[in-house]
Amino acid sequence: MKKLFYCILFLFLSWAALAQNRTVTGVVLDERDTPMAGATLVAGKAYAITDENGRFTLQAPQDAAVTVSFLGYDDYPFTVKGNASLTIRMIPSAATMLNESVAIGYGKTTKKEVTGAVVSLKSEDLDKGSFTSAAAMLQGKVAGLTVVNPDGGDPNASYQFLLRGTNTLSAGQGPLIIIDGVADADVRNINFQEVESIDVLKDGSASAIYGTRGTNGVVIITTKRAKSGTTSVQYDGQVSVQAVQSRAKPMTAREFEYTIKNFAPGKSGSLYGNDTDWFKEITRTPVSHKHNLAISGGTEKFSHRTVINVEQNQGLQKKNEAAKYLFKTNITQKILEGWLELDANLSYVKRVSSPANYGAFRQAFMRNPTEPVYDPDATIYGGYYTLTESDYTNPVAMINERDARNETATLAANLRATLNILPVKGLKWDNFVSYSDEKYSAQEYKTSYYPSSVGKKGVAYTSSNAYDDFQWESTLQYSNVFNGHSIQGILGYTWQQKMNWESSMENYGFDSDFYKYNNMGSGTALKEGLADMSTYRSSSRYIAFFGRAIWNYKEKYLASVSLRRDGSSRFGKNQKWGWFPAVSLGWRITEEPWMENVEWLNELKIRAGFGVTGNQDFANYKSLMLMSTGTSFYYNGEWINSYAPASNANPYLRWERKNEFNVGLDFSVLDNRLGGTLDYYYRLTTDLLYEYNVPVPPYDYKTLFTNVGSISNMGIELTLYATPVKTRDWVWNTTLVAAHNENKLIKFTNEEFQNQDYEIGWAATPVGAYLQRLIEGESLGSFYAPRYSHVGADGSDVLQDEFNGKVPVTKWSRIGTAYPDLTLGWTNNLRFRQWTLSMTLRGSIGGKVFNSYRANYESLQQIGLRNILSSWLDNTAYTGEIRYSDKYIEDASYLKLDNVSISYDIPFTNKYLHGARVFVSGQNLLCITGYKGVDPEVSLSGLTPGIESTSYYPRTMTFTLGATLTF
Amino acid sequence: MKKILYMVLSAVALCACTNLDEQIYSKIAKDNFFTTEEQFVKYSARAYSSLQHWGTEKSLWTFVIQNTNEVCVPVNPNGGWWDDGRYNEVHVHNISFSNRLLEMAWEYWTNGVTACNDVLDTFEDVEQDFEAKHRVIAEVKVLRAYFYMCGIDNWGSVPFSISKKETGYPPKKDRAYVFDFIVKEITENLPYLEEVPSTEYYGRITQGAAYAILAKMYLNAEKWIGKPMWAEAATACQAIIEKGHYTLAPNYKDNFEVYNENCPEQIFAIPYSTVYTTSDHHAFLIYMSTLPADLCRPFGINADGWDGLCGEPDFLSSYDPADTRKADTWLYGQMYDKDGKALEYEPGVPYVIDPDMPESVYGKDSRRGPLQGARIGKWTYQDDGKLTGGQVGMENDFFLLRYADVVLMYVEALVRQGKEAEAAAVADFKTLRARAGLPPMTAAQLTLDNLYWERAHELAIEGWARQDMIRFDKFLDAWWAKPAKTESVLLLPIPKTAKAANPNL
Repeated sequence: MKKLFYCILFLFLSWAALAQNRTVTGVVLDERDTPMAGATLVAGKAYAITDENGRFTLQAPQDAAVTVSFLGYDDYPFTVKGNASLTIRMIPSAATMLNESVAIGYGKTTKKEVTGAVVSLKSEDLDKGSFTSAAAMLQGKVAGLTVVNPDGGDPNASYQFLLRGTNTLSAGQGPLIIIDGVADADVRNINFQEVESIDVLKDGSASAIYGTRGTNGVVIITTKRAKSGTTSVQYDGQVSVQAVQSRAKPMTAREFEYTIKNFAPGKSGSLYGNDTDWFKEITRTPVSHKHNLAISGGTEKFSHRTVINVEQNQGLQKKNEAAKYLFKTNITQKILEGWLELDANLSYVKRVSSPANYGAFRQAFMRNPTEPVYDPDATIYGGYYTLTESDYTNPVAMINERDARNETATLAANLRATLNILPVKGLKWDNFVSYSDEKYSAQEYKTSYYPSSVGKKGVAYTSSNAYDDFQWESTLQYSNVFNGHSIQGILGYTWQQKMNWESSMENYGFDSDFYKYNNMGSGTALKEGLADMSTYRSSSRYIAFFGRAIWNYKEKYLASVSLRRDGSSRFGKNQKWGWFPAVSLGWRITEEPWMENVEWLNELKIRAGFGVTGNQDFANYKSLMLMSTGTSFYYNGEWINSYAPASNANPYLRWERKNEFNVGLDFSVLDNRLGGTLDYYYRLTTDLLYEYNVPVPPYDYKTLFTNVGSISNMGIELTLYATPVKTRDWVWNTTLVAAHNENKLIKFTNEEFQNQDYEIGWAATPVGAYLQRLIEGESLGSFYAPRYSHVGADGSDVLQDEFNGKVPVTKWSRIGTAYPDLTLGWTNNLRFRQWTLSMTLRGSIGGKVFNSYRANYESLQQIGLRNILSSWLDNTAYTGEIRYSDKYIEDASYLKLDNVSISYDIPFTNKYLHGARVFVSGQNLLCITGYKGVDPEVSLSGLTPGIESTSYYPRTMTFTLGATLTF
Repeated sequence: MKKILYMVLSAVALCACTNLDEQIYSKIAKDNFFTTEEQFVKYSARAYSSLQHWGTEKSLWTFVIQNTNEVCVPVNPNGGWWDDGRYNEVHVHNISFSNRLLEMAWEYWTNGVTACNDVLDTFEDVEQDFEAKHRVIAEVKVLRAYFYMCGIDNWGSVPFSISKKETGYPPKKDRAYVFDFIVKEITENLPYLEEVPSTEYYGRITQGAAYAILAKMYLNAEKWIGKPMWAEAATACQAIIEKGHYTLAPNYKDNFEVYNENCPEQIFAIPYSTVYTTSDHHAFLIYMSTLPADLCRPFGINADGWDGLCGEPDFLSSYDPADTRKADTWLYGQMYDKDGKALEYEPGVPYVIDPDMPESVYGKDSRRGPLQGARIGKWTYQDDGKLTGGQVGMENDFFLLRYADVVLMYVEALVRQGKEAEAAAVADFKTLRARAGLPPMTAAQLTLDNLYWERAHELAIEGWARQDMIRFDKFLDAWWAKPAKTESVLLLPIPKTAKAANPNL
């Protein structure tokens, strides 16, 4: 065998040595897989230049060293090894990175000129793999931005953002998302393969240009656009499977029997003799696939890009699905001899889903494993084994006897018209008009055997919502460079109106389950006056005037000033408008003449900025005294509607105001092989909104939504990027982001609202305690609990400072806060010839999490009808009642392997196929943590962060196989 | 250059809309609400509908019946109804100020007051005069007086606010101050009220209702403000009796039927409906609170009852064997389905509920047996299948004030003045006894103790027992699973949420 191999090798080598010239063909692509026209390939005397499709043919001797070069990109060296067809991917040189454009809201600047805390990510910085939302791609990539998915493997999961700590008590925490210029866009309406870049405006000086919507940061997503000069068709296809990574583990039937017989013989009445794995009964191995087709091309004056995307995602729970169908087209055109540029977009996105039943996971957990699934005698319950207890329902029936379907269809169109006022160099007038029409409908049918509604003979529900969003933005922009002074100015006006119409109806009492929600009028409840019907309409309007001036002198001294006058219909009568100023300065020290000789230092910039932003993410009509129909009243022999105020009106309602100071440092050393960014910030949010307790009477309701408190957040963020290895065949890029934030509730009361309830985060029976407190001077999310001591002789938990069997609330200790001390993200890209390995790790150090499953179900007292955690068997000495203590508040530190992917560029191209790549990836593969619950990464937003929900979706890992073909 | 810029800017500013007024579609701004007389009259419905909270699972009513010797809530066979001991606290008179039931009991009357204040403020702002205006204002003022009576009855000193226009935290006023306010409001407004009960005034405050509330005030004056007012109480009752607008219904049960709105005994009713009053705060839900799931379907109720509230064993055994009101009030013994067929609990085991329970079934770690504990059966359960659980409430109207109560108050007021003979001769009192299958009481039999039990059995679970037990000095005694207590329990603690909202409390 070996002999034969040597023989063949010898023959091959000698043949190779004989040959004089080899023909190498291929394609040169940039970091975004766009073919590069005009790249040069040089091998001694031989050379070639790529054509408009990035293709080349090079005649060169065997073993010749070839260098591919293109301005602004690192040279790409390779050696001729016989005739070959290659795909060459160029890497932008680090020096070029400084010239990369950065979106700053209503305009662009470059990385070297930016003076605010802005992070710009290009598509190659983002993870490869399969995502249900583009938001997921930001996880672990931006220092100071925490992106959490509290819903695990649910294909309909939405992601929560938290930027630079919690800055509000009750208003929204989501950043303003701008997709291709459309403010407040829905990230679910784009497909992740189409993301070209994501820019995150973090500090107040950068986001103040967005006024009352800037506090939670601004995420500017740019999708791939039509480009002149290239024609291509690209197909991406993926297939994924998922497996359970983590879930709450109840006792198996054997463990359950063992526990009852040995530890709770009095409850042996709850042994029903079967062996049911309820989790298995309601789950499956989900398979998903995604297809994306992008067609683009164009000339100097006209270009287009059209994308068709189809996704079918399955969830772990049976019947849980999510599908997406997307059609999007972008056309750009230049007319009137360069006077007018037009950019038109049209998209239609349809998302169809079958939502998961979260309650079924909880019921499957606590369902007695010795019960059978079915019982042929239980005819009124449809043959499902049923015990009529409150909050105890057969999870299999919950899945099988419910049919739910949601559909969202969004039609969006926008046009940007830019008038270049050619006589004045650098002056243009830009108008952007955008309209989106979203229709949402939900249908649900619970059959006559759905556990909680047996007896109602089938319950049908439908709702439909229509959201209209109209935006108009008009800006006058001017930019010029003279005598080393570069200036950029903008004046603008923006107007946005949202309209919302909702309707819903519910009926029950159907003769047959056949109709589902398709013949709702036939239910008897309607005739008996017990059906429900409602419609609702609301609108809000948002108007702003703004201006900004950016100046620099020889790219050395940098400054930016902006001012916005912002108004919203949501604010109270006398509080409609506010001012939001910002200023930021930068100094690129490396541009000073006296730094010229410091060769190891490529870039050093210091920046400082201050800006005012607001938060107006709360419901409409909160400031008005409105009358709504209350309950009915029997009046003169008939029932009439009564009218009552809808809520306590607050005519002084206004935005929450945030002042932020940010100072930062950008550097790059060792021939740009190592670089980084360091930021320090202090943000103070005042006029915080909260529902304060007010006396009834005189108020109509118990709480008033009003501006009182203040919160500060202070932190440090570090981003380091390096290229430790960069050889002909090997390139290793690595980026580390780290962030630390300190949150402090400064004020929660004032003269008017003093005596407030500080205890929050109620955990219901059997825990029966408030987990957290709001205390001035402390961080939000502060857990308070009695200290656990040991298990006493009677099997009960003994707590410290007990008095008469209780620890008084005043003696409880502060256990810590839900917020981590340090969040980390580490992204690696290792390239070897055509192979690329990427890996993302994400970690969190410090912080506490309340383990709801242990607190509720790791107790012998709870076994009986219901199951408990199998981990109780680890400590059978504990047999007492559940007592809330710090034993349930665990350390939330973790390290997660978010993503590993390997891709291979197939070195084969021809006239038709310009590039091919395959990849495999694994996501959410590993979580290293001391936490005993499902997942220490729980929701950190809202007022009671760090509490793991008992209604949860298991965590899953995803394995994906994908291919990209470029024609 | 600058000129062009300026011109473009001003063009933008001119065409730019800067209007930020909120457009309203699905609600009505209060400023444009009142345009017709009918709307004013109907606006008073807001005040009346706050009464509908009475019959919900957590209300002043359900609080009071558990706070007395009428109802107890042992942990049920499945371990339900412990809920951090909140039901236990109410029963054994060890109520913490954060108790949820206490909070909801407080909200019944405070929400009532604030609704009345809102209606009265609104009427005050109306310039035009119309026929019904003064009568409706009088009704709402007396209704507010009733809510304040609930407040001082149970809490003594209460926050006092009679207009939304007052600024600052409402002051806490003592019982005597509020007592005088209530009496003054009722007497001043009485003449404006409708005298004759009719369909139009069903569920509304009439002169009869005002006199009955007044009678309750005077009857309790000795306990509340230390000033006996028995003669005034008798006069107020007499005012109702003598006008003859109300009579005792032929059958006791007529007061509690599904369709009881034509009962001649009602003076002030809370109308309920399976269709129109269906929400957490506005429904009559006693069937869910008391019935076990396995009795619902045989009774014609398409729901799984929560199996909680039971009759207290001592109370059940206090009835005279001849008293028909026991069986009319409670469910015990053999259970029958709606067609009269005897039910079995399990094959071969008859469904027989034993009203007697040992005290040992009461407590956190104990369980009541499935066939133990009488259930509330006073309000006839409708068997037409319309009761489907959740928030769907019963059709039966709740008589907050009924003629039998007035008769017994009158008898008591006479006895308290030493006029036993006159009391024994009250014709309606004899009718009332006869209706219960009992002989008339002689003057000698009219002891306070006997009078107490007569009231207790006639008006059982109707929500008056707490003040009655206090007035007859029974409230501090020990009873089933409840130890004797000292006077501090005569007043309820002000709930934590109310204190948090008002530093004056």
